[in-house]
Amino acid sequence: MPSSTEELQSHLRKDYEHGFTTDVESDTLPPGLDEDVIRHISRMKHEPDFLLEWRLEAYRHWLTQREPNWAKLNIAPIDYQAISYYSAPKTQADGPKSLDEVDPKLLETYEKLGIPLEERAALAGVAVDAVFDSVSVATTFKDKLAKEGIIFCPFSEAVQEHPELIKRYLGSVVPTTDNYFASLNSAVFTDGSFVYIPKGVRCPMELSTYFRINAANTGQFERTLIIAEAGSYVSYLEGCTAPQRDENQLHAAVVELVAMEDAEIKYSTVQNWYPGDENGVGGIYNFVTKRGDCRGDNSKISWTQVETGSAITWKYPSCLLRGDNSIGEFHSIAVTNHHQQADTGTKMVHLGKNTRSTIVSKGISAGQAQNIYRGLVHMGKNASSARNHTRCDSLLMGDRCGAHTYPYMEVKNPSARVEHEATTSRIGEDQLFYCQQRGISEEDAVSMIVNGFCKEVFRELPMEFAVEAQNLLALSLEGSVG
Amino acid sequence: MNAAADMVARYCAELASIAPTLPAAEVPWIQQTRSKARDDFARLGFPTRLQEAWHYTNVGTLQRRFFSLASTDISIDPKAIEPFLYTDLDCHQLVFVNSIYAPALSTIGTLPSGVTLENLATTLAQTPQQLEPFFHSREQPADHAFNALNTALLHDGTYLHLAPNTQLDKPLHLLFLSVGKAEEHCAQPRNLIQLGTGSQAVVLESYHSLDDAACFTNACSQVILEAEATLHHYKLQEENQLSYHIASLQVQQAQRSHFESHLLSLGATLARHELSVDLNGEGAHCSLNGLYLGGGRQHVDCHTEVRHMQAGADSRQIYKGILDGRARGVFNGQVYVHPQAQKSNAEQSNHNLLLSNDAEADTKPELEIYADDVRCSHGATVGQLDDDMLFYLRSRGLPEDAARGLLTLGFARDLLERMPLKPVAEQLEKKLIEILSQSHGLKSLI
Repeated sequence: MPSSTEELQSHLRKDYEHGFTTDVESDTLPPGLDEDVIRHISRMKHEPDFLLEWRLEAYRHWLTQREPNWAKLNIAPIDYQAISYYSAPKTQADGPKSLDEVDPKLLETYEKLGIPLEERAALAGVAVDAVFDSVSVATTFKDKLAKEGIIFCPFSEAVQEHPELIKRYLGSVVPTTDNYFASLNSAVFTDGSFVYIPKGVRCPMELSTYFRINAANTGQFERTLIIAEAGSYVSYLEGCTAPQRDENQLHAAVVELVAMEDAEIKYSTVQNWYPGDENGVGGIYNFVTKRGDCRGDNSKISWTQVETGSAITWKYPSCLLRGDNSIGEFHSIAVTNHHQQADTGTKMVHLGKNTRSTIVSKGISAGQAQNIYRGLVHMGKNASSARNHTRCDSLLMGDRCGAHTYPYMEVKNPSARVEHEATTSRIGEDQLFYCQQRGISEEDAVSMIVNGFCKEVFRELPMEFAVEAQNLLALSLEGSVG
Repeated sequence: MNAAADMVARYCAELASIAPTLPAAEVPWIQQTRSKARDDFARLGFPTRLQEAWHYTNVGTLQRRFFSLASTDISIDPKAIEPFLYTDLDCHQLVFVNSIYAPALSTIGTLPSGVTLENLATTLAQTPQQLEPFFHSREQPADHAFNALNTALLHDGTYLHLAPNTQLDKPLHLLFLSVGKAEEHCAQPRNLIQLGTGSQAVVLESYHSLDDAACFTNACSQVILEAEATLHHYKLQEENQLSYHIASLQVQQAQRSHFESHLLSLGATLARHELSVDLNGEGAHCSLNGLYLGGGRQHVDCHTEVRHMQAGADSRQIYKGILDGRARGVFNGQVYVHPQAQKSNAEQSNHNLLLSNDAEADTKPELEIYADDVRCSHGATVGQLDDDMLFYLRSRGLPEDAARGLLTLGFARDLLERMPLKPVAEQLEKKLIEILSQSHGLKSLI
């Protein structure tokens, strides 16, 4: 296919569609980070003392740490003192009570993104806790959830209203000393989401949060904590888009999940932050620590992610399978194009008996992008009869991209079984020929083949997300013929 | 940490003091190569677990003791080496005691014309210029402490050169013996093998201990295969359970050359086998096979690195581990595909069998791919013997341990069957049966 390279290039040059900036005045701290900044953030958010102490402890530890450099990523040096660590939309001062009180400009932003908040919430039955920069501006369906005893609110609100839960669970999965970016997040996080599902409750709807980075030069430090008490179930959706911008923006989120006995948490992500332009200028740096703790027996945590955005992705959603018979799952599609770099994967740490985990990772690399799967499967001494199956496939489109696989398997128990398989290939010319011969355009054929390649993961996504994810994928890769 | 630095300094001091007595000490480029390597070693020190390549292997106990580098004159009774010979195999045989050539024990038959086979000290003393391709064709990796240590000493080993279109008439058996009774010794053989266009050879390296003293073997072999050359390489490591065995084998392959490697690792308290293959020419092919057994507190670590640098090359890897007692097996295989290396075909697999509750397997098969028109795959498994299979055998009246032994042998035999040199394969199988019989009642069956 001699002409395809050109064609490919023209399609790959496609601009980011969701690039625009909403003009909202922000109450922003000057750039820089020291203990005073942390005290200021804590004071602005009227936090209890224990949280301030916790932040300061994290900050002091962060100072002793070095940026991790083991990932196969090429990262321009980050000046942590040039980042402003707090920014809140001004209208937030009084706090909107309902959608009507929300700044219309914010609502407009969601409109542009194709997420009509009220409509979507009403039609799809999704409660949206929309995070605009660092402060939540609208929460819906609260009453319905409250009836079930479910707490679903911005993190800062949970700090005020349920400090005992925060104190008990915050940092219990990802401690402040965990890694460089988690420590930074612990010190300066501004807001995020908090979910508490009481014992035996099955959450009646998908919980969803839309993150959106807005004010220029503001690092976004989200903190999400989800607790599922014994016998409960929750499905949580997280999706993101961001305005176009030239400077790199740092995003270091921490997500902690706690699943007690017989509980199940399903966590789905569609990530489409600004990936930088075709020359690799700009784009979000996405350094995320996500970890789920299957604390009780028979608990289950599943991660599903579709990663199409960000200039750099550094993300390893993990499961600690502590309870006997607990289950961890990881389903991932990572698409990189232009100069994007993604070093992503998972960790399955099997500690309990009969624990099971499944890893399915699909990496698609186009342009000059680098796509890396890095995963750990650890079978502890007591993980008798534990099982793991890992499958990671990579698809290469174009002759200047890379796809890499670094699986780590550590097995300390003889009855544990670990299987790993991986393949790397490109879209076969015969597959394309077959489709074209039947009158399907080259573009549709590629999209069809890629969708087939990713099907296993799409199936794991909740309905609402599956559609969005497939559109995103088509958008990111239109016309990329290998 | 200071103790480790002191030990590195001690090695460097000894290297410096014996440097003038080494063969070809007066040849400037050799002298420079040695002193650069000594500086590299001083700078690098022993690897630590913080280095990714040594993540699962701790050389702490190795670096706490000093192994003498000075050559000693030890005479060995020819009878003592008989157990290590392949009785059914007609071969050229070079024997080394603590990496020093022992002519009295060696037999080199009449060599076909175009074949140069001698011990490295002879080459260094007489025709050192022949060795330049091994030290200039590629910058020696300065990030490898053990290779640097070996190069810094560069004294003896094997030199094999085949002119274009020649064939080494018989397999070459290189027998490395460690003796440590008088003094704990470090053997550092260097084997340099160059096969001209279209030539063929079979080389078998085997490593054994003559007594039960702890020794440290730091072996380094380099192979250059010119176009269409073929090398079959066998390696048996059977040193005693107190010894340390660190070895690297580096292969450079030109177009359409063929390299086949068979490794069987049985001995040593700490064994590390590194094998790196550069497929520098179109249509080059390599096939790497390895079987490692660990029991007691043994630690065995196999690293492979295959670099596809040109189009149309082919690589196959299969490594299997059997781990018993408190043993720990590590496999780290890397496949790299250069952007130019379209139409590459790479396969890699690693399977581990855990026979006891305290054994551990760590495996890390890696793919690093920069070209799109490739077919690369890898697979890895860790598990124990299949219950159904055990049940099947037991239902036919086999005692449990015999059934287990038989299944374990079946797991391993696959790799022995891949060896084209039947006398070696048969002898190794006998050895394997003997080892499995110690823990399982296999003997009664066979």
